[in-house]
Amino acid sequence: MKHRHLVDTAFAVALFGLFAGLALLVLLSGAQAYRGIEADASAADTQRTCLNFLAQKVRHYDAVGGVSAGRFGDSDSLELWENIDGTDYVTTIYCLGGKLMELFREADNDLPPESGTPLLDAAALQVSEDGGVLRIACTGTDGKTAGLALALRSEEGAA
Amino acid sequence: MRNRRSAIFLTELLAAILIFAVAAGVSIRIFAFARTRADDSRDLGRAVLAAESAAERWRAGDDTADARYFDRDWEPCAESGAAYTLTLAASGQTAEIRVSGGGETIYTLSVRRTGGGS
Repeated sequence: MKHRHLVDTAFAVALFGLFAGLALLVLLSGAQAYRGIEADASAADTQRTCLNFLAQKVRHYDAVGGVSAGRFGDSDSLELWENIDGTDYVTTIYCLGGKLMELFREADNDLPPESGTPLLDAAALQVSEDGGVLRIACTGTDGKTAGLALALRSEEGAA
Repeated sequence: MRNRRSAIFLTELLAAILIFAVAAGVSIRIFAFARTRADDSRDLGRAVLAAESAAERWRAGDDTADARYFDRDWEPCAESGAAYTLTLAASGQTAEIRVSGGGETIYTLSVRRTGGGS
């Protein structure tokens, strides 16, 4: 009789253990799925935001001599030129310390890269121009890179 | 008396496990579906970017390649290791860009080159 009671108890404890184990498994798989989806969505958002921001900037400044690729600090940079009341100004977009930065200054005013305004998280920025096509690639903090090509309207006919 | 209580307890426990198993099955299906939707969303986003870039290059007269290949992380690669394919079929001043992967079309973009620029 005592032996049967022991078996009943052991069975109940084993069932409870199974229940607890499965509950933990479901909880962990849910947490893992959420973490993965959130990380992917966040990385995609950052890259898309970065590329769309740069594309809009290029479209805005797309006049002859208005857009160029260059270097600023240790990063590739996108340079957007404009003339206000006879003075040349340049807006430089570049990467510094894991951030995409923007700096607006007079063209002949040498400000250091640290003077810029941080916009969003980005590990690296690559900008190049060839034959009227501007190629921009943004590397996120997760190390993944997304790129975009933009045909400069101002260069059409010249290319 | 004790046997009866024990049987009721076990029945309750089994019923709880059964309900939990059904709920867990539904939850895991939902997690898997969410993962698939997230992957589809990422693929669509990257396919749009790739198609727009191809359209811009074609517009500038820079793209002569009929197809471009991408691996699972959407990095350009050779045809042999491709998970996604972008094809550009140009006909005169119009072109059809199609991005496909896993035997399915992810995104298509029709573009037209105009004399004035846009």
